[in-house]
Amino acid sequence: MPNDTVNYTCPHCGGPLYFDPESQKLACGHCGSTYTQEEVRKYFAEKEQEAAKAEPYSLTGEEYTEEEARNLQAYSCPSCGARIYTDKNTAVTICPYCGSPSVIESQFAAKKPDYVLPFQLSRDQAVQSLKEYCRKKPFLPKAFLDESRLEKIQGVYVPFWLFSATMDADASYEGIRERTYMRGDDQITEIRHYRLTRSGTEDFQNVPVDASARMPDEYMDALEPFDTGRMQAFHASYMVGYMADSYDTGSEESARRADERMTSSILSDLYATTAGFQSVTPLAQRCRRTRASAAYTFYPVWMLTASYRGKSYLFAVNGQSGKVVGKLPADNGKFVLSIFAWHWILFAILALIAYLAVGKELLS
Amino acid sequence: MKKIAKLFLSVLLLLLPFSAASAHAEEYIYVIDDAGILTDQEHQYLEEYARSLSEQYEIGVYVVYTETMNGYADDEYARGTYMNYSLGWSEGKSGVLLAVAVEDRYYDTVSYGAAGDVFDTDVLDAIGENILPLFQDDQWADGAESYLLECEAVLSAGDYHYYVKEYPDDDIIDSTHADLTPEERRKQFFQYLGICFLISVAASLVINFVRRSRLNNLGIQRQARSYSIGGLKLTASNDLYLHTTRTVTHISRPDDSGPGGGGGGGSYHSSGFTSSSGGHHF
Repeated sequence: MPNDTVNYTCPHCGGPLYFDPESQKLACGHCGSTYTQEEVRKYFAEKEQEAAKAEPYSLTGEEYTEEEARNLQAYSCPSCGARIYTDKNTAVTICPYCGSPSVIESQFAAKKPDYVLPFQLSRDQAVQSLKEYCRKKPFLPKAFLDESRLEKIQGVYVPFWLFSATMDADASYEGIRERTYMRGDDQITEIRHYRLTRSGTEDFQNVPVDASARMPDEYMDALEPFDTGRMQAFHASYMVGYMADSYDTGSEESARRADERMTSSILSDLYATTAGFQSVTPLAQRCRRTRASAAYTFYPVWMLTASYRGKSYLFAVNGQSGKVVGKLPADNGKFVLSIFAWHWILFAILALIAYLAVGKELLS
Repeated sequence: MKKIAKLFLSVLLLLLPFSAASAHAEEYIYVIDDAGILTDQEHQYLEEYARSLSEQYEIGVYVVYTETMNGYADDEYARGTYMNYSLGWSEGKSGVLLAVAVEDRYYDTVSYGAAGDVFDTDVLDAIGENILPLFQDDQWADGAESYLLECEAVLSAGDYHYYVKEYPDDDIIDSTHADLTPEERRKQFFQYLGICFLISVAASLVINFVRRSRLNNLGIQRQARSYSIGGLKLTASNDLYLHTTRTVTHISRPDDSGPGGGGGGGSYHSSGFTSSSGGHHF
């Protein structure tokens, strides 16, 4: 039976290959040879065909419960033969015994990914981005930069659904125009009431929703934007050297979040067309999604874990733009001092203005 | 700078309800006892006496008892009290005042406008001298009565007539100084400082919490505007007029204050005062 795992090793020396973001080629860590996507595809075409046909290993034995077994998959590293267990969504991993990158092709059999956005940022650049990000932050404990230790840096291809759709919306509002004028000793306030109706259509393209339940939404959303102009048709060779999971949140489930975002956008755009009224109150709003499609895509993300004084801090770096997201620790002492400092500076300025504006006259 | 000062003052005024207005009992406008040393009967008697003189001769004849000198210096006390209580007959604000600071044991006299023609420095000095023994004996009502009798004697000589005196514009005394005593002005400034303190605390908290929020840039996206191709295409837009509602509020204009009592609006001129040559500590 053929192995379901393709081991991307150097055709020249057999060393492990990895995707180099700078040259956008596959490089051998051992002999330094580089290969274009075309060359690699041709070389591994046969291997991949065999791997795609492969049946996944099923788990046997009594040591795992049914649920555990459902969440596990096993494969054999084609390089060293070690038997490796991963969770059921792992699609690309690195053999812990020989360090060879492996793509589990059967993970892509159920739904073939449409696109991949290759890494543009190297591991060192990702670390540098994090350092830059920390340097500009107020209230960050000074010791965090000196004492914190990067425990884990991992390039991950995160599965995303990219939703494209045309949204049609209708809305009605109550609009009010008000004017006040004097007639003799009477102040007259005139309020004119209007019924406003608006209809519109808006095309959205590639609204991303992460399809991995293990990736926190607040991290993945904050990493936007990704430049989809650099997207490539999916090929497993882009994944070499990085981790990747296949999706575990279906497109239908993810579509809810995309719909919410698109609906919110078109309704606020529609509302913006009611300018010219003092007050506009929505009465009814309706949205329909038409011509919708979803593309299964992998986005490049560097996940970094830093430890500082016994606590772990998780950061994600956009593998394309270098944008860093995460939650940094705060130095509460610095924070309180800053509140006092700002308070006294502002008070001194305001008191001086008060003295010059009214105090001089009042106290004379 | 003037614009900033104006803006700053209007913000403070919005935040600070004016509490410094002087309180006058409506029914006693000629004899004001803020020190609480007159009995009701004495007060009523003196008020009626002063009122009859004032209305007969078209002049404000006033007695004001205050607890302290309200922060005024000796030579400013009577003048400041005259303006602070908005005294004076009609538009010309003509009047003569006996101002007594009971706790500080000081009194002085002053006249304003046309009243200065007859209540000149010599006359005011003479009136002041005559009532000194009475105030030394704490005879507050008798002192006031003696003053009113002196005023009646001066007025009955027939040399006084009411008219509106003209003054150069640059003599106008700033309304803040006219309306508020130095103590009230100091208190008001400290109230402003209190507001500045609160504003700076609030602003400092806002600034620092905003800065602190930069430590956490995680968040859920709610909009998809950056993925919109070509923006919104409006396919229908209609503004239908329904009806108009109209509310009429009658704005009542302030009445003219009339000839008697306090001077009401208008300003005082520094050259309008005739002072005695000095008040008396007793």
